[in-house]
Amino acid sequence: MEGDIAVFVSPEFFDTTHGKMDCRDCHNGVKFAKTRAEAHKGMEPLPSSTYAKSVCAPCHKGITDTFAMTLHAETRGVSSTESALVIKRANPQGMDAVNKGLTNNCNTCHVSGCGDCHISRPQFNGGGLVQGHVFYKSPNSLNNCMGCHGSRIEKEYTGKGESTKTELHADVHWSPGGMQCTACHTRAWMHGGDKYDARYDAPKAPKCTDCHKQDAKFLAVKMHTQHGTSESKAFLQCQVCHAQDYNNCTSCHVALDDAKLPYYETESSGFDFNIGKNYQQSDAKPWDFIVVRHVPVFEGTFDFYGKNALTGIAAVPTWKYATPHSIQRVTRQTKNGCDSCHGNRDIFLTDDDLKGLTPAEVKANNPVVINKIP
Amino acid sequence: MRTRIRTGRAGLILVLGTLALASLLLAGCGGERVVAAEGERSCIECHTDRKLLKADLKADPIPVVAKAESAGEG
Repeated sequence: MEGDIAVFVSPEFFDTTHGKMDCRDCHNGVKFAKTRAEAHKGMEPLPSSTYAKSVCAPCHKGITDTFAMTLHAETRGVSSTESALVIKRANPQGMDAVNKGLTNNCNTCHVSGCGDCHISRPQFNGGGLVQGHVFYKSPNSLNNCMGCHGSRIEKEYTGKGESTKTELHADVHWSPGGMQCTACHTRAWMHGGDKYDARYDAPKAPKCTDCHKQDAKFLAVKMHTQHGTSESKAFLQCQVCHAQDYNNCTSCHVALDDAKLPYYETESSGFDFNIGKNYQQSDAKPWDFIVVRHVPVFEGTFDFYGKNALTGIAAVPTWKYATPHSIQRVTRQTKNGCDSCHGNRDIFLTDDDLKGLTPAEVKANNPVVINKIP
Repeated sequence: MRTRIRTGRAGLILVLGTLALASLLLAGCGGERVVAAEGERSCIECHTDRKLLKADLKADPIPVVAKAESAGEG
């Protein structure tokens, strides 16, 4: 975004509620000045960054109090030195290295205040006012959500991914559906109130069945009676049939460069599709088979900070439960009826897919792998 | 006698006027200017004028935030 547009305040802003306030009510700074430096003395560019203690709180208290606890604000499941999921894989003697990686690298990926969704592009992505400082209730999918969620969600949802095995299209909800992220990821869910460390543990997380009821019309489809209900012999997560290929990454290293700035490197990434056994069946995830995505954590992820930090890689699968945003009615799993899947080894996660992995990572994925192809 | 009353009244008005001005100043009403001095601009004047913003940013570019280059997809 060009610099002048990034800070340009449109005339429309002054017709809005927030536009009736003095700039300094939120941003501080100096009323009249001759230079930019003088004008910006004491200015707060991101006045919403402290949530419950921010300038937003007096009017939006119900939201600022709860949002501060959400994963968007805290990313604790990814970066907390107490509750990050990667700690399950950590060597108790290597926690110093793990904590440095979590703090220096993983903790850089969180929103910088209410403004990241309601005024500007995320600061993580360079910021810049989206609508001339006019506040908008619903974040813009492209400018806001996909400003951060790019490599998986944006590519899958908007059809930017490429697979060597099939031609990919945008998720049907995006095109022709035209559904913005907020159509499913509701305000109540985004603004929080429930405490959880992993996004899939969120009680208000979107479900396909919120819209697609398991009614007579649904059950009129033979494949749905065979695989789409809890009474089915093999109950499948919806995405097992209706997701197109999705992005998988391998071997993420995190480190600091010569200027002590954090960066990461992943060895490879690519679009593919794999069905795995549901290794964590629960009331919320009752299926027998699920779609699994390879996540890039590996034994050497924190090597920069100390060797042997993740000796417990076998503790949790690296082919993980996934909800790809690449939905189509007809996919390579459905287009040829039963034969699309049955007997088709390629679409199942098998030992073939684990070749080249370390013994620990192979062990981690034993609960997911399907070697007897249905 | 009449002159004395007039002088007293004028003095009283002067004293009351001075007190009122002083209280206004002490309360802060006079602490902030409402009109820009020559060469000064307000926040709105700058941030609603793209030409001005462009020229200002060209003359004095915002320092680029140092960020390390990552590789691959995160």
